[in-house]
Formats: sequence, structure tokens, C-alpha cells
Amino acid sequence: MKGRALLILIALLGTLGHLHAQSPQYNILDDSTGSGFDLITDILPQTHIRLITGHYSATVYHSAFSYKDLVSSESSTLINISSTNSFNKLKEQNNFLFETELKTIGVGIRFGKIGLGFQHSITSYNNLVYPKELYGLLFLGNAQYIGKTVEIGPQLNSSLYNSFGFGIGVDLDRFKIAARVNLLTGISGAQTDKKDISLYTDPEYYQLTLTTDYSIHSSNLINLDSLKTQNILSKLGDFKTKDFFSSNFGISADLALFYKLNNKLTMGFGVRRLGYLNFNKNATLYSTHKVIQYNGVDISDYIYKDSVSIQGLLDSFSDLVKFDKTAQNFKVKLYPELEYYAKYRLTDMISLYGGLNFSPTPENTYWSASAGGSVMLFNSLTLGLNYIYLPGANFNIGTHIRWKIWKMDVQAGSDNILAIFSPKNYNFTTGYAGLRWNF
Amino acid sequence: MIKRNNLIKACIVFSILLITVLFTSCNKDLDNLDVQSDAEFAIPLFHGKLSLLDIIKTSSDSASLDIGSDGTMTFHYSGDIVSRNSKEIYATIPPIIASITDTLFAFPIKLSNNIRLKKAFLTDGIIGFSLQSKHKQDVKVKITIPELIKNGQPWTYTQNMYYTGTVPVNSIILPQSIVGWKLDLPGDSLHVKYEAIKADGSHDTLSSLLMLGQNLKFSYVEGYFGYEVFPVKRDTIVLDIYKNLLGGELYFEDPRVRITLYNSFGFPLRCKVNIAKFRGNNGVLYDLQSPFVTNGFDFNYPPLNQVGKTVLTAFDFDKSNSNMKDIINSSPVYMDYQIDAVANPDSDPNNIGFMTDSSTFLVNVSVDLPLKGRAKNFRLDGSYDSNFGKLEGFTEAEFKLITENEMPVDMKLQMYFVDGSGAVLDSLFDAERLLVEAAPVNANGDVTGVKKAENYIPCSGAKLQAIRNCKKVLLRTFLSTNENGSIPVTIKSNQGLNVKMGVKAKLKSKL
Repeated sequence: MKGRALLILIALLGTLGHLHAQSPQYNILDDSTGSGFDLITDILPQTHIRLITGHYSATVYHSAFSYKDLVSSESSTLINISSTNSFNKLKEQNNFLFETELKTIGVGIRFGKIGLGFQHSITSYNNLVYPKELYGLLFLGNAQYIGKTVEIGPQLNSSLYNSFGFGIGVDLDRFKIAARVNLLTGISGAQTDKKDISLYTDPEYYQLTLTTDYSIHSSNLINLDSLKTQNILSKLGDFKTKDFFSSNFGISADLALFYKLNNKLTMGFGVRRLGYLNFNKNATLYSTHKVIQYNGVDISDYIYKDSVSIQGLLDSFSDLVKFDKTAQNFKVKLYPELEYYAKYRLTDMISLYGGLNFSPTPENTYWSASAGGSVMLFNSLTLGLNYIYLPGANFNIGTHIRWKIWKMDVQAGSDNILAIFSPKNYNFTTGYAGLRWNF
Repeated sequence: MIKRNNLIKACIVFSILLITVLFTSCNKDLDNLDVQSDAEFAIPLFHGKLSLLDIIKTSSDSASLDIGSDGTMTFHYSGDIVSRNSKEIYATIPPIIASITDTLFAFPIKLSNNIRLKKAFLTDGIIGFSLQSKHKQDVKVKITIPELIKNGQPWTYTQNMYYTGTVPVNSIILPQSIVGWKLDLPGDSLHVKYEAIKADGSHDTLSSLLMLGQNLKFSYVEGYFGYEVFPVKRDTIVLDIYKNLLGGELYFEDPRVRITLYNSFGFPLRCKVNIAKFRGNNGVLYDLQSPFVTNGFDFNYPPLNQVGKTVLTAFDFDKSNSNMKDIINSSPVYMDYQIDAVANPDSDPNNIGFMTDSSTFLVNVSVDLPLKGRAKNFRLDGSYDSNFGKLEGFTEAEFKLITENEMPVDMKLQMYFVDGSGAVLDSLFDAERLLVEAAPVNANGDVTGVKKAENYIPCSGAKLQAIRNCKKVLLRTFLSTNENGSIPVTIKSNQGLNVKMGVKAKLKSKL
């Protein structure tokens, strides 16, 4: 259990080194329309037709510490964890956020003031919230909690789905508005329903009392049939093609507004991922509602034998924690994201940019603030630089590039370029890369 | 279609790759990766009551445990139970062949083993006669056996001998069953009376009359059974309480050798002890010495008016009548014995007794050790196969042991961890350590309370390594009664040791 949790943690932090950061929400390079999650530019293109032929973006964020904070030293066979150091950086509640989106194909066509668009994408959204004591329990052990009751229940909101979006936009000169309705088919998902798990370690001889009122829905993602299994998370091979187009239907909506105050100042507002997903394929509710008292094994089972084995002793503890499993459809609420930005055109070549970003979740609200600017070096090349403040990751320098060659429009960038060169030092980054065509 | 599906799948795979592959495929990459952290876990290991009764029942090879109504316990080391019955002791009654030479003839009934028969109930047997007459006329012969009685009437048989012109006239009385008849012999002899009445009415004698009685079996015999010695086979009692005694002292306050006899023979029996030796732990032989070894002692037997009843005799050689205490406290490992049961040891013919066809005696010799005594560093060693493979990853530990002792015994413990070749890798303590303290006792040695103790047992990384590598655990326990073995105490069946153990262990985990 501990090893798996550590794996997940390291994998998440390690992805900082593998992802080329990108931030769809802080795209400061767009022409006159700002960002709005690309919604306005993709539905209301400045040319007649705009094609999307691949656009990948990812966001990775851990609210407390980086890989370097966690791992004090490492070799090919040994990783030393700075348990105490990383533990001290934790807040009472902590987050892993891991989000990716692959836009496979899309098209936007302008008919005068009206624009219509279609887009297919595959999105993975994973938000894990865990209490400090869960980390403390796994990596520092429960000895520090002798005589105390600690809450350790984690919360997970996870979804992997196809999105088929149909959008419409209106260009009212100074004011633009675009909206998109997305029909979703869920591939896998999980959502915590009840989150209460507490552990009490008795000071007498360390008897454990685990009190649970915990339940989590899962579809094709988590297997809690037995905690002894090595396959708690689904593997790639577990998925079949038919799983990618299941009857796990859902719907979401995106909306973007743009307002041009004057020739210098523009601003915009965007919201996306307002919706939900219903899961009914392999939908399972794992739940546990019990008080488990573990006092060790009855010595009479062992003392009267001619051999001593610790295995049965430890196994008996593992056997105590079991989930009830029932088939039950469930709904995953998608966590929306909101953006507000303003852009000031200093010269024809230089623009200044500022923005705020929010993502409210039941557990907490992600927010960040960004400021930066862009320089158009040639008609075909634009470079951008920005600074982002994000709680727990307060020094992020973003860089962005847009290159237009003939009809091609290539965009790439990151909100934390330093993480690309030194990924282990940072706990936040984004990355994006995409290819569009303007006709 | 296949290609399209594959293309779609490839696209989606790309998307979810970072979620799933990173999490799951990392297992393969990290198979040999150790992750070291400062985690310290506290978990309970054991709890429960070690019942002395259960421990003794489990660990003792040959002893049984007798529990008194007050909870006192006695180790009971028993020899074989030997039984002898009437058929084994007394052979089948031999055939009776008698030549009746007079009209009233008496002859003694001679059975084996010098039994002088007084009364018997016949459950089998036949009786027959051969007759010869030289009278030249018919003769009517009436034979009576007065001591052979049924329903108050003596056994009688009449036989006609017909003269056919030649003499002698021979005749036989075919074998007659005498099942259910009773022999009642106030004297020692059986009488046979006959009348030979000729055809002219005159009485005469026969020239020959032979009687044959055979296959005689009795359900009950009364009489004098004579002086007889019934050997009980030699046997050995192993005293494994000392089997593991490798040091220290163990004293029992009131040990005894008990000879127990269940007897339904109705005549005097005396126990004669021929061999009673103990072999000490040091190889020295000790003779059991007692006037009752020299002179023997009498077993109880049922009187004539309690036919069918079994009576018990339990005779103890103890500290009051023998050197038993000295012998036992020399830590003997076995007792070698052989005894006889002697019938009518005084050879008094007036001792009229009985036996039935189901009379039996069962004799048993045991060494009984009531659990009252004292011990001083009484050392017990035990060996256990071990498998602590799951301890992998633990780098340091501290065990917490809580005991509540209801027994008046201190326990010092040492544990050795031994590898496959028998080499000691490490020990739990530098020297044996007192982990369990004796419960308090009163002046009589009876427990008056419970003694609680709390011990912390640190276990370094080196020790844990030894534990992981060991194949056997040698457990060495030193037991002492209160005040370093100076006070005799009583251990009872309801006493035990409540144990709770937990551990705080630092972990170096491996993925």
C-alpha cells in the first residue's frame, strides 16, 4: 500500500521531467482575441476556416512539495525519502492535480459574424486530495500518532473521457461570445463518495482502531476487491477498444466572452467543463463502514506450536481491511475552470497581459494569477513570457512561442519553463503543443 | 475496421499513457528499487492469556494433569496399566475322574493353584458314568450326588442294566449337562451315592462304577485360593518434566509414587515391591526405600457379601514413609519398577474368599508430582523453526511487552537466533532478562494477587538481520518461584499469564 502510494507520488512528480509544459489557460499569444481557452479563436477564426490537427496539453501540480523535496538522494537501486522534510511542507489537506487533454481533430468555420465549430478531444482529469496525516502515516509511520486519532481518508475525482464538442460563436465587433456543448463518453472514472477514515493507535501496546465511513465509486479504474492485489489501478492492457466508446454518457459546456474596450485594452472571461458524466459500465461502489479493532493475534494460536511464523500475523492484519463491493451507477461531477484576463497592446509589437484562474472543487479551490507580455518579432513569430503565482508553487516563469508558416499555425509553451530544465525542483508545470491550419 | 480501431486506440493510448503507464509500468522498472524513509510503525503483535493448563497439556509428552476441586494440579506420570483376570490366574478346572468303589463314596475335589473349593456355580460341564454288573439278573442303578444341587434337589440319575444271558453287563450313562447346577461342599469332598437294586428287589453293589466330569466351568467359586504370586510385568516411567532441565533447581514439596489397584477378587492380596529404582539426571540410580518396600502392603478386597464389587487401593510412597522426596528432587529421568501381587500372603486356610469368572485386578504405578514446590533458575530450553521473512525492510525495532502474571513464578528469558548450520547468529539480550515477575503469595504459598510488568525490548538492526536469517529460535527460560526460589508455592490450574505485545519498528521499504 505504501509502496504503491509512493509510486504514484514519484510518478506524478517525475512527470515534471517528461512533460513539456503548456498552459491553455494562460495562452497570451492569441491574436486580438486573448485566450478564452482557445474557444473563441477555434470557433470564430480570423480566417474562414481553422483546422486543428492535434493539440496536446497537460498540467501537473502538487500543492506542497517537489520531487527534490521528497527525495533526498537516489541511485539506481535506492531512493532515500526525506519523509520529515516533505511532511513538514504539507498542509492539512493536499492536492495532486494531473490533467491532460488531446485534441485529435477540430474545425471552425466563420460565416460572417457567425462561427461554427466541431472538436473531438480526449481528456483525463485526476484530482487527488489527501490529508497530511495520510502521508505521515504512510511515510513516517503511525508511531508518531500513538495516543492520537488521525483522519486519513483521501478523496479522488478522476475521469477519462471522449468529448465531441459542437460550438457556435458570434462576433459583435467589440464583443465576441462563443459557446460549446460537449457530448461525453466516459472511459473510466472514480469519485469519492464518503471520505472518513480514521486510525487510532492505542498507547498500551499499539492496538489499532480503524474507523471507516468511506466509499468510492469506480468504473474501469480502481479495483479494491483485495488490498493484497497488485492491480489496484487499472493497467493499459485492461482496456479494450469498446471501452473507449461506452454508454457512460455525459455532457458539458464551455463558454467564452471577449470584450474590446478600445484599441489598446481587451479583456475576456471564460469557463469550461461545466457538466457531469454518468458511469454505468462496470460501475462499482466500494464501501466500508465499520470499526475495525486490531489487537494482534491471539497468542494461543502460536505459542502452542513448534514453529513461529510472522507471515500469518501480518496477513491477519491485511485481512481486516476489506471493502464491500456493490454494482451501482454513479455520476462524476466535472470540476469547472474559470478564467479572467486583460491584455494591453503597448505597441504593434508588444502586448502586456494579466489574468486570474480559478477552479473550484468540493475540497478546495485552485487559483493562480499571471502577468506577462508578448513580442511579435516578425509577422510569423510571436514570443511570450509570463510569471505565475500559484499557492505552493510561487515562482513560475512561463515561455510561449507561436510560429506561422504558410497556413500552418504552431503553438507551444509552458507556464514553468524552469521545470523543463530542472523538473525535480518544481511542483507545478504546464505544457502544450499543437498544430492548427488557417485557410 | 481493425485499422481504424487501432488508430483510435493509439490516440487514446497516448492520452492515458501518462496516467496509467507511469503508475503501473513503473512496477517493472522499480522491481529492484529500495525506498528508504524514516517511517516508524507501531503495531500490536500478540495478546491473550497463556493458560498454564494449556501449556502443560501441550508441552508434556507423557504426563497427564490431575486437577483437584480447589484447582491444585498434579503431574501424573503413569506406567502401563496391567490387568489380570480369573481366567489368566486360575487355569481351567481339570477333568474329574473317580472310581466309585462303594455305595457312598467321597473324594476330594482337587483344583490347580491349591484351591480348596467350598462352593461353585457351574456354567459349563458334563458328567457321565460307566457301569458294570456281574449279577445274572436285571439291575436298576440310582446314582445321587448330594453336593451337586439344583433347586434344592441333589443330582440323581437312574439307569437300568438288563441281563441278556452273559455277564458282566456293561452300561453307560451318557454325558449329562450340569450347567446351572451348584456345587456346595461344606467339607472338602464330593460324595457319590448309588443304589443297585436287583430284579428280585434286593440291594447289592456294582462290580465297577466310574465317574467322569469334564469341561467344568464356574461363574463363581468360593473357597480358599491358596498362596499364589501373580507377577506384574516390569515397566519404566519416563519423567519428562526434567527432560529439558539443563540447570537450576526444581523442588516438589510432596512427590509420591502411587500404586493403585482396582480389585474384584474376594481374597487377600498383598503388594510386593521387587524393583523400584530411579535414574537420576546424573546417571546415578536411587532405590526407593521404605518399610513398605521391604514388607509390602495389603490391597483391599471385597468381602464375601460384596461379590461383583470392585474395591480401590491407592497406596502412596511419599515423604512420610519413604525417601521419595529426596529421590524426586534429584531430578530423576525415569523410574524402573516391578511388583508382584501375592494372594493369601499369610497362607491362612481359614481365609475363605471368592472369585467370579469376571474377577479382575488392575494395577498401575505412577509418579505424581503435585505442583507445590519451589524453583530456582529452573532452566527450560525450547527450539522452534522460524520464518521471519516478512520482517524484510525493518531496520530497527522496539518491542513492548506487558504481562499480568497470576503465577508465583519469575521468568527470565533469553532467545538465540540460529542459522541453518546451527551457529548462533545473535541473541535477544546480552544476558537473560527478567521479563515476568512472580505473583505475590501468602505464607502458605498461595497466590494473593497479580503482578503486572511492562518491558521494552530494543532490537537493533544487527539483531533484526539475525532474526531474518535465522532458521531456528532457541528459547531459554529460567523459572524461579518467589523470593528467588526460597518459598514453596502452589500453582493452580486457573492461573496463567496475560500477555500483550506490540512493536515499534522502523521500516526500509522495498517496492
